[in-house]
Amino acid sequence: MTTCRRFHRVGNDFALCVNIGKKDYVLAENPIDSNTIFYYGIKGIGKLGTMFSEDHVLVKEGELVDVRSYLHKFRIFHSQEDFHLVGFNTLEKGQNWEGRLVKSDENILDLYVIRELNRKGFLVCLDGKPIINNKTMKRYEYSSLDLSKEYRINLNGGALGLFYMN
Amino acid sequence: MIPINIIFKVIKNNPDDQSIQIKMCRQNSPKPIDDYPTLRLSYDRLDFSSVYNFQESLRDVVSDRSLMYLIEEPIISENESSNEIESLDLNDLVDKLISIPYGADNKLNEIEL
Repeated sequence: MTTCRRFHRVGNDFALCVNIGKKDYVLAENPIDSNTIFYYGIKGIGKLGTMFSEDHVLVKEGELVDVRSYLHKFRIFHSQEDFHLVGFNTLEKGQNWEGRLVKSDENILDLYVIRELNRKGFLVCLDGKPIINNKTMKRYEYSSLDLSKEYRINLNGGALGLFYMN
Repeated sequence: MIPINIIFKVIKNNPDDQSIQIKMCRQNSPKPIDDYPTLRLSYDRLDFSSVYNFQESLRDVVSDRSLMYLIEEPIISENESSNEIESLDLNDLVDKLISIPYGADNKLNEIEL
């Protein structure tokens, strides 16, 4: 039987869901059961789409995929390889968040948009052990951003997601 | 969900005041059901529309209460521990009693940068 191990980690403003499984795992989700709006692929590749439709996106290793358009739909996921995915989840269905990966050449965290909009921002360690202001983050750790501060980034082979509620 | 059966025993039916007296616990409890407290349960809490609905309404009550008994159960001295995992070295864990919270939903770890 193809299985998947899933767990949730809940913060004050958002939650992460982690899915680790084998090739050809299939999951169908009712929209009331899922608030995932972004997926990051730590390992493997999978197709995420709408049930009974050809429409889908690929969730790939090293990429942050925007799945907001599927939020209110019956979703289906099919892994093409053994996989390890991290889902970024809102705490309420009506919330809209923006998110992106911190770029490999982004030595100083670019907070221009978040500062302009004056939003609450979060840095989330999606993989590896990136170093920020000489502090090493571990996978699934996060930090609330102080917009008056500067953040010196060394991805150190890891992956960081920058998220803010819009 | 804890995948065990819950057992219960109606000690007395009180049609006059529309209630029952009931004992309950999980089936693998270390003590007999008769050693647990008796709960007075009003008919209002029960659904008599069918056998299935009756069972489900009882299940709500006895499951909650049995879980509460489980949580309140004393910790035997041999299982007392407040040790946490402090490293990734498995050798550090050998012969140590470690305590972590139960459950699949855990808090995200927030750090200050």
